Amino acid sequence: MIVVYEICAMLRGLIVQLSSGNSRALRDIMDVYQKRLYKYALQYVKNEFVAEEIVEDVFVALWNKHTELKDVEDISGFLLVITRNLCLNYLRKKRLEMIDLASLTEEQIYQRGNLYVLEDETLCSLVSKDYEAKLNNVLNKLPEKTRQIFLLSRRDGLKNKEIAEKMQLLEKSIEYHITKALLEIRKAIFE
Amino acid sequence: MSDELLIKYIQGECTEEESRAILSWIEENDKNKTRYKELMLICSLTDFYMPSYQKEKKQVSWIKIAIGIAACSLGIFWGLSKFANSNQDSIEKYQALLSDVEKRTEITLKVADKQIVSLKDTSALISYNNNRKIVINDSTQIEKKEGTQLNAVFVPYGKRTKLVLADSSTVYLNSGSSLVYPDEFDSDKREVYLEGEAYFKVVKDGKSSFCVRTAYKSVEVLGTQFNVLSDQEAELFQTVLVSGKIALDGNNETMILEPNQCYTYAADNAEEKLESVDVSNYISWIDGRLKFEKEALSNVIRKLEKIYNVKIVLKDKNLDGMLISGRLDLKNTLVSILNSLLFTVSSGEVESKYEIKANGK
Repeated sequence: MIVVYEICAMLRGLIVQLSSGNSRALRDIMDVYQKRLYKYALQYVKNEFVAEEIVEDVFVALWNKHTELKDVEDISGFLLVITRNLCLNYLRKKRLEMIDLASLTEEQIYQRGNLYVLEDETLCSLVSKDYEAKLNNVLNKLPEKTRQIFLLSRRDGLKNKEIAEKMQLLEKSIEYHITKALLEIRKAIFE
Repeated sequence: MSDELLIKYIQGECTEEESRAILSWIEENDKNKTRYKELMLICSLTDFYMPSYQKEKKQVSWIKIAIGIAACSLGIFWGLSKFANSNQDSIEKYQALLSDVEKRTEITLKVADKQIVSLKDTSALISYNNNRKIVINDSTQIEKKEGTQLNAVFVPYGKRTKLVLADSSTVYLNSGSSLVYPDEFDSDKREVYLEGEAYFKVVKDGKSSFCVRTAYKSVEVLGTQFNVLSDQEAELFQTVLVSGKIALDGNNETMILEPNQCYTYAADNAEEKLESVDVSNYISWIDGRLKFEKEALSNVIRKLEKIYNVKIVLKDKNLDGMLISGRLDLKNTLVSILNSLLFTVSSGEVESKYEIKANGK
């Protein structure tokens, strides 16, 4: 049996403490979520400074609402929604600068495309507790090599070239495996 | 637009020029936009949830699961793209045509205007070189519509089909294969799309080359006889040249094959191999014979599974890797074939060494 390590149990305790005003609990929650929220925000805003600022704002918002959190089971969803909204606000502000396709900087190219994603309400409402379970299910079922490569890329942040060197494979093969994994996940979520 | 390129864009691994072009592609229409949005959302959420995934380190019995390649099995028409990845862009229109004929239990022919014909036979002959008529098994006739249309034929496991194309080239389709092809050929290019395995006898028509596209590589020929295998379950592409000359894109350069050469490409690690072979081992299936030389028993079993449309389980796993050579006449029953096979590799009662099950396909 392949087992998935979840952080639920420990977090539940932290959320209760946070809701009663324990700032130490906030620090611990930040430890758990900081890096992930940063990676998530960075995907959309494509700017490291902006992503850092957004994550800080997310925790400020979390603290501001701490009294309402007493019965919250899943804080992941809550944090993701705040993060997404902050990213959306940032990109909307930049929209006017990105009108002329020909003159876009590389950063702006991605930002312009990402607006379409974040503005799609129905799509984004797929952020649910279900997602993690479905993701784990797909990951468990992948062939060993594909899973290994996918983890090195998405979990450990290695570039395709680095993975290719590490596993003595062609870069093209790495692209193939990552595509395969993502398409399997896409199939599980959208069908 | 290939999924690979789109995902490189999402990962930030493509060049600035590519990213500019991809943004244009995304904004072209809603279909492209949706395709991008879905993948982008998946990727960002996966980044968020991945850190807590860990595989438990434990003695585990190894479970092998074959995952078909999701993209190809979706069969949705994404539209043509401007990108240089030429093997990927127009095969999507071929895959779209196959989406409602595949996975049936009968040989299925799809002609223009989505008219679908099911053939009850175990093997069929379909000819396109009769004066704007499609002739099936020398009896049924279907009128070809005006202009050139893409047709498709699907051959399920356990059945075979011989197809004569409009230029009189012959294609022998093996069990579990599909071919998409035009009912008339344009003067400058003859192109077909194959999933599975087929043997081609291409007629030289003096003016155009003939191209076999697959999910992996394309094979370009003049007048020639060759075998192509594109197996998406095994993630394998293989082509063997019997006579004439063929060209295909290797990983780094164009490869030209001479007769008796075999090119093999394993998709999951992008490894390729060119070697000289005895072609009869690769094309014996056409005459209803299976010939093999120093081949692993498990490979031979797999071929038998496709031909007879069953699942064969060997009880003794040690036999899987045994190398065997020989010839089997497929007119015999599967049971007698398996008995003679296993008689050669093991001792004792052979009937108890294997189990035949109905195939879920």
